Amino acid sequence: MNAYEEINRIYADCHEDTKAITHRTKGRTLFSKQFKSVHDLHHEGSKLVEGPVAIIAEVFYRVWVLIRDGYLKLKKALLPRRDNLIYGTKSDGRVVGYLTFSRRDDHLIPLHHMRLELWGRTKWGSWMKFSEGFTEPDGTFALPFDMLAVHRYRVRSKLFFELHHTGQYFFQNGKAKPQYELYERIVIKKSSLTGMDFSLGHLLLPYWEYRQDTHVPRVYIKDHDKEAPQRYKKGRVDAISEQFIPIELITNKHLRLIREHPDQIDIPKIQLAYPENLTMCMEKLVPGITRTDAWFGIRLMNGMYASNFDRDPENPDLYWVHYHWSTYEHTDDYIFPDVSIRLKLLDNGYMTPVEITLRGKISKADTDPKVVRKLTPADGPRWEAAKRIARVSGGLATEFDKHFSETHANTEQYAIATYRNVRRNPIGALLFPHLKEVILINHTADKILLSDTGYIPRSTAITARGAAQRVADVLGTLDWKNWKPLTPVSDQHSYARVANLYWDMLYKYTGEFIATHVDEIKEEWHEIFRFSQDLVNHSVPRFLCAWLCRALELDENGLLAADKSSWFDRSNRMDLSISRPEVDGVEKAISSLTENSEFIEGKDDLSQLQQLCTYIIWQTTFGHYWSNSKQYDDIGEIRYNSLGIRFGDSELGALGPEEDDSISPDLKIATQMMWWSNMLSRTGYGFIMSDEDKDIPPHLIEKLKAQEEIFAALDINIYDLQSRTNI
Amino acid sequence: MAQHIAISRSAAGKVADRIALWFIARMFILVIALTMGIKQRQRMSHNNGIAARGKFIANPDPSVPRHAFFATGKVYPCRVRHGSATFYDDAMQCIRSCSIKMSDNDWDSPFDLELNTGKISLFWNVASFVQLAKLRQQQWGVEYQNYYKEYPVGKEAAIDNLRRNPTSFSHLTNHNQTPLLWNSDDGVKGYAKYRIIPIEDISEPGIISGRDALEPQNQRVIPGETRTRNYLKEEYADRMREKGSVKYRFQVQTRAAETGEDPIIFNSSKSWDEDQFPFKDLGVIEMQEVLNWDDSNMTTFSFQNLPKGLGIIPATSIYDFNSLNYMRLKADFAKRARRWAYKVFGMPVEIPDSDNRNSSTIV
Repeated sequence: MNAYEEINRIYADCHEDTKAITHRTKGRTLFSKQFKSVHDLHHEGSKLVEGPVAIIAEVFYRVWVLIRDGYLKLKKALLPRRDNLIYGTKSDGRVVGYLTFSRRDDHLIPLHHMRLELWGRTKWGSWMKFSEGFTEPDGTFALPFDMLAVHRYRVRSKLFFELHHTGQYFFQNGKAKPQYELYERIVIKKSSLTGMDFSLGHLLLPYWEYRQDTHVPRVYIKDHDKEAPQRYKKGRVDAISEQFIPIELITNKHLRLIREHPDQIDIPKIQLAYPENLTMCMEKLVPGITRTDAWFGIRLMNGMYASNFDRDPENPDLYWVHYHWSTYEHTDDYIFPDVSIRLKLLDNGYMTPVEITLRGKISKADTDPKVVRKLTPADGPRWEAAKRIARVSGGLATEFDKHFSETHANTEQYAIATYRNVRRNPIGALLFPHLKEVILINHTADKILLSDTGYIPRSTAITARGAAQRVADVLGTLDWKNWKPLTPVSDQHSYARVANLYWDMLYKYTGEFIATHVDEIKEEWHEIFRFSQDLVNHSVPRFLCAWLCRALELDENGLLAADKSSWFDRSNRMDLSISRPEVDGVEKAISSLTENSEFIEGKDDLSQLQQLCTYIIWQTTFGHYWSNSKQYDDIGEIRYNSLGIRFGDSELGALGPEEDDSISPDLKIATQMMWWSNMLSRTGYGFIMSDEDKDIPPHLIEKLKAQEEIFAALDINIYDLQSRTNI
Repeated sequence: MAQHIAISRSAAGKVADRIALWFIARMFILVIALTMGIKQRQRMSHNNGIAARGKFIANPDPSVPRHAFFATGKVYPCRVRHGSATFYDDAMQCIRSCSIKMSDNDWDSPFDLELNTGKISLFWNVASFVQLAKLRQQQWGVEYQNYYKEYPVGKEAAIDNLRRNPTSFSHLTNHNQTPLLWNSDDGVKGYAKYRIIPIEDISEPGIISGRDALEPQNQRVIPGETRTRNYLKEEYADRMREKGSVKYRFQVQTRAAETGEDPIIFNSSKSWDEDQFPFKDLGVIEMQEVLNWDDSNMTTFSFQNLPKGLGIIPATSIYDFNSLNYMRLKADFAKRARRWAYKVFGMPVEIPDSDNRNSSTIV
């Protein structure tokens, strides 16, 4: 048995046992501990409802909620809002107005196609609908009603002008239909409706608004739990309480020990306290197996940090992977070298590292910030340490570039543009299930991961400002147009194979969906146009790092022709051969989908829409699933791969042995790292196949189910595929 | 697709509507009588005015459905009172008015009519009139800002009605806006809207535009204005003195009643299509003598003073467009209260040419 066969056997033994993704099982009991909310998670100690008094109070609260909800349900059953009946046939009065967004930058941008309803209640409580309609594309509205119906004596003196948005879609005879949810209610005195037009004036609605304190397209959230455009479903909070509180308690215990008895705890003890991860399990079976060159190459191909392999321009037989960071603002608390890995593709289809170049300080003795070290397998223990540094850089790069930027932040910009603009177009049914909740988790990430006091600036060299710049730059390299997943370099490149398999399945699925709803999509094309406008107008500028600007054979317009720089892998990347839209003289990263507010036959807008939707769904589901769920595999062992490592006390610096814990992060960061990798990988809620919220188009579930075995052959359990980016 | 349910008023509902109309009209007029009429000795709005006496010679266009009151050759003594709504300052941007009385009496008359500048009115039924009154919010010559915000038609009408510094009352076109009955002598039922226009063919002065039209709520005099608080009244008196008379053309727009007609035709905030229903001459009004301040004040116009067949159209509720004239009909109580207060407490003083600009009080 060769090394690869052994690795595959051991991996197979450990992978399923140590899989971090969990599905909900029993649900919570009345007296179990729970998190207050997802936003209250914190590696320094989340807000938990614990202790007898708090738990009893919580029980009382939940009983009260049950009674209240029961009363509301009863009331709803006795006094239903009959949506399909409108009282009155005449249109001798109208409620008119003009609806726009409300922030400084967009208060003149109309809110089109918002669902409007005029309701009243009889003196004994029954609901009566008097009118319904939508805002026009220019944001104006005129809701006609029958004066006689409104002014019946049985109708109470207050009427309700309601603004509804599309919460989700439901499917009726295979067609997606929007399901409207109340967003805002304005009370109108009945006496104000005197016939003719009653104007509500210019209504400024706080609705999916862009933050104005950053040029990265992010949504403005005033209060995560009360005034955010979306909320988590209850099941989401229950799932995280159920699955993560045991881990939270371990971390809390460690933090207390570190504070009170630091001598009683060390890295091995911290590690052992947490559930075993993939590398720990494999090490237990065959010591040293996860530190081999073979395993290193396999993880670069198929692990959390699966990457593009560019050909080495100087030696076409070799491939390169780069993690270049040093231009971003950082501190000297941790090492932060630029890492270049040179790999060779073996005949068996696996990559193996042949050289690692470290550029930057890695020991306290280093004085030159640009010192370069080239290490090869001949360097023995220093080579092993260099691989560790490369793993750490790969882990951090994946967290930043692949996980947060490519899935979380990238998804958010599509989510904002979609929710701001898509309300009647069936494309919402295709996208909403995959775009929801990302803004909430990103808002939490801002606080606990990326801020000055967040985990990343404390556990790695990069500062909050450097991190923000990195996210913006990565976003500047992302675009949906002509994007395709990574091209496999060999049959062993299972990540790339499954990524393409999933892409092909999705591409067919979105094509079929669009074909089914083509008339409605064309009819509501204005929403797609406005979506595209928002997407482009708020996109970050296109970004190409200085090194690539020099190395690629770009033409005078900065474009890369198809026959140039063949060493550069074009898959899984922005298409550098096409020009991009300019807004106010700035070249934007994201391509425009359409330039027409009405659908024009003969253009390829529908196929572009198919590409865009496929891209979004791929990123929010598979893209996020891969980089997120494999964190516990690849950064679940502190000495194997922590996101940051220190200079160490020996003269070898970070090239010292793994056992030198002056290189590993300190105890607090170490246990918090375990908290993070567990939290991110372990708290699954929102799977495509589970369809917990009953909003996944059934056709997607059917298509995935039909390919279950093909995916399984590539080590993908379709039941683990998340439907959205919500952790 | 939601299903629409037709709503009809029950018999009890209809009775309740009429009671509500009666009650609100009565209560409103009672409040006006007590506050404006007796306490302040003021009309409900157009206090700042000047009246004149003269005659009306009927000479209707032959195509106007015949009515005995306007038979060709009939001559009636006549009074006309021009006014500016609400403010005691002619140089403000105001709605101007012209009331006609086909007699030379303070009250008694066979035919009274109240007309205003502009084709459409700021309110269209009693309910909207109550809103207008509630939302006046006048301060220093700025009023109705919230009314205009809530009721775009009201703002549109204000722009249509308001006149800034017209050259003369006699140069303005005044409409009665609210339709009245026009049941012709041959038994055909119909409706009429009246207007009074200058005898000369001149373009109407004072129509607002620019900033005035953008902010009709701001009725204040223009900074640096040299026109006095009484300039229009003085001009009218001077004109009468110099020319001996002031003439107007009295016109009517008629339409036949139809079964199942849309009530919108009674909406005073919507004008009738003049191509379809052109204004036609009824005769010429000639004013020959200006009345003094006291006589002008005493001259009162009543909707009770309308000939048979030319009266008001019955109203059924406060939302009925015809309810405005119903309320005007009930307003006699307030008018009598004001005239009674004149007798008991004396006439209000004449408007001085003082610096009390933009004012809704005389002094």
